[in-house]
Amino acid sequence: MRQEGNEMSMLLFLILSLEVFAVGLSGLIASRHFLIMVFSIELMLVSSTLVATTFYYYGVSSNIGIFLFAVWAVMASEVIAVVAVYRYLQRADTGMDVKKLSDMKW
Amino acid sequence: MYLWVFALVAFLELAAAVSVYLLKSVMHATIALAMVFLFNSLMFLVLGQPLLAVIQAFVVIGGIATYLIVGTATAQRVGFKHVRVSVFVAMLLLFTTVLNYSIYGTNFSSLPKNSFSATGIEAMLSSIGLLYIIVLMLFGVSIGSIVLFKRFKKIEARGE
Repeated sequence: MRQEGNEMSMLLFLILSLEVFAVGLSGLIASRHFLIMVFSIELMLVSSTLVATTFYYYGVSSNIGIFLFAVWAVMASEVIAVVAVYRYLQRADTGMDVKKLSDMKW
Repeated sequence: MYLWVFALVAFLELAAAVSVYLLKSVMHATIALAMVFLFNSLMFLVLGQPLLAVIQAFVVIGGIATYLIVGTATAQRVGFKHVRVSVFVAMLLLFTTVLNYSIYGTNFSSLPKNSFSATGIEAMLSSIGLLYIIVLMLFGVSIGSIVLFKRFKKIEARGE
């Protein structure tokens, strides 16, 4: 239901999601911690869901359900794999610095 | 008023996103990431999509974030300075400029006019507020159990 004076621009949501994406991308470049880098990718995926929902709400795209569920599935599977690797790295005592992960080479 | 709701949620989401990199402990960073998920789900509500917001809350906060918190609960603090803050800030400014450049100066006049009325907020209060309270309770319980777990480990380490 349209209410006068309450409209908000699509730009606000797009700028917010791009800002979250920029934070994730910057963190991916600036950080050397294995887990924090994965968190950066999660941030970028979350911002993409916000973009999709914004486009859906403002009528740009009509079918975003598959995209959203695909993104959530990717996030979940990524986290499952990453926690397993993280526990392995902790047990192997190689540290979380990605520059030292070459110790994992055979 | 709804602009203020948007501004508040957006500020909290950005603050949580930045604090993922500034917090020293991995577990605290994980909780900050969960907060980003939570505020993103609240932003879905501001966008008038309560169903997506609840799905996001259940799947991402209830599943993914809780699993991450449990997985990193026993982690030690980060033993090295993993983020160079100056590089982070420089990259953030650069990417903010580059990414937002494409949408500055446009008003999307070719798109259909929106009918934004923030009805999702009323919907939240009336129908899905209870679901949100459940999600927040479960989230609080998971964090609280981790805190208790760490406290027990400290007591064990002291040999009491």
